[in-house]
Amino acid sequence: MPEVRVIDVCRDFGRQRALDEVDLTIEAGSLTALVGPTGCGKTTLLELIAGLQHPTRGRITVDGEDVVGPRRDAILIFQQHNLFDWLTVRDNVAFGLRNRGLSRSEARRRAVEQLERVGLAAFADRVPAELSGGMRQRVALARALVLVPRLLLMDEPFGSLDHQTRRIMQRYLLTTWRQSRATVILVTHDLDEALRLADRIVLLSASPGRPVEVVDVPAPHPRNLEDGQLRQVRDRLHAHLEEEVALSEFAGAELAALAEAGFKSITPHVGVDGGLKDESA
Amino acid sequence: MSLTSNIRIWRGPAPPSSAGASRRRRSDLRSVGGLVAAWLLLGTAWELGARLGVLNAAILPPPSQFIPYLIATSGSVGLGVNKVSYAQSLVETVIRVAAGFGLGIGTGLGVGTLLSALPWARVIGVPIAQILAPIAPIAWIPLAIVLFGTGDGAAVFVVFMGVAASMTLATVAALGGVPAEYIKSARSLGSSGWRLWLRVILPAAAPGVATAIRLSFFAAWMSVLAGEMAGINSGLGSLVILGQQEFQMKLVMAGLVTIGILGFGFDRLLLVLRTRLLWWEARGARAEA
Repeated sequence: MPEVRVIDVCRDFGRQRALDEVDLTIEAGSLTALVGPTGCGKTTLLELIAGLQHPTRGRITVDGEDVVGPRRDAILIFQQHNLFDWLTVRDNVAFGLRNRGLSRSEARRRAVEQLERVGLAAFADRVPAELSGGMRQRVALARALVLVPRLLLMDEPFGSLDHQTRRIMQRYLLTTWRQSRATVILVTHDLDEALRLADRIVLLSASPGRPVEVVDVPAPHPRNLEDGQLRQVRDRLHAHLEEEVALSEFAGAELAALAEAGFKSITPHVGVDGGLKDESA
Repeated sequence: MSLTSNIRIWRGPAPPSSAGASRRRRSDLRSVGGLVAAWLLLGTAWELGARLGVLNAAILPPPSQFIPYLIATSGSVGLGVNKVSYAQSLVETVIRVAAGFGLGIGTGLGVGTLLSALPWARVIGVPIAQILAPIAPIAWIPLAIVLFGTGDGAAVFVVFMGVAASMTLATVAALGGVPAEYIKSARSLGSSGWRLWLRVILPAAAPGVATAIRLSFFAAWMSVLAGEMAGINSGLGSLVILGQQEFQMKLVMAGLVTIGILGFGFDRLLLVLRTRLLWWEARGARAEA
């Protein structure tokens, strides 16, 4: 269960700053959600932690070791293009094992075992296009879990699923996460998803991305979002997120018009720093 | 617990049933039936038109005339040194197109992959291919004849030039179009180097490449015929021109129909190869249906 530390990280794309002075500590074995408007660099941050990109400044450590490239114990899961269309479900799950030097037959045997554990063994010979969206994400999760990752990085993993499937997959993730005891970092633009799943929510502001609020959510599972304290956190984060979205989406004059039209929460950006840690929830 | 009962809600798409298989067979039969029926209809109209004098049979000889003509002359036409055999022309053209197409596709795939893998080579290579690709294959004929004479070499060269550059560009485009998430997923799962290319990037690009190959065949087929009509004095294209020069319209018609049928046949062959090699596509399409 690795602890992830993001230390004063900046990431530029050309002259555009995507992430600015991100300083975060993600506790071992926790489930952290990165929430923010489109373009706030949450995917970039995830890929930096995964070692698929490198910070322009600052450093990232996992278990105290600097991240210099993809780590054996860290797996990334996306919303789409997760599974390889040209491999059967079995070979998709065996993919990572083969990369680790296992023979084809041994990799397949373990892949089927993993599929049995998640109730997908009957679909081993299917190709991804023959599966439903939820099943595809379950296979993607199985493909990650078969490698026994200690760090699971998920980028909007349920973003393309319909509402019901999404809810079921969220519960599914909670159970598998508890069993695996991996450290999970989940990127989402859905605040409710973050509130349902996460131990800690990191709200990022838009361009350049920077944590503006870090909220611990110690509520037990399953959670009821209408529940008193959770609801307070939700309302406040909603207002904050809406403001961030508006700020990243609109220019000054439009913002004034929006404010007049009743979006009270929208005020000029005053640069809230990451110190606004909320412990009340 | 309740979770497991919830998960059981998902039922995957039903396994391919025998009803589905028979529906597929029916649709195959229908397309073959349509092909035969369409040509019977056109042939009958052609015959009737010629018999009734609506069509000038001297210019548009119907199948009942050019097929017996081919058999009666045992496919040998022309006079003296110009005498050519139908069967020999057909074989010549097929060999030329196969060689030029194979070399062109192979080169395009190889160079395209190399250019995709090496960014600095791409800076030089892509502009060169971009200038070579729009040159009409026929435009290479004068150079081809000077280089290789009027034989097979020139024809293969023309086909090659008509295919290689555009196939290079198509390969670069297909490889460049592989979703970044595939590559990131693969790297995150420990794949790198040649393994990443072989197991992820190339299969992901394969459908785009396959489409480009099929389109390239039409370019190749037109190139070889145009070349044979414009200077390379042998093969099917040359046979059609010879028929026109000697006003043997039966020969011209026989040549045209042969060109159409062969081109169609090759295209079907490529389609069958695609469905065999990219087997997952058909299964995905079936699941969509």
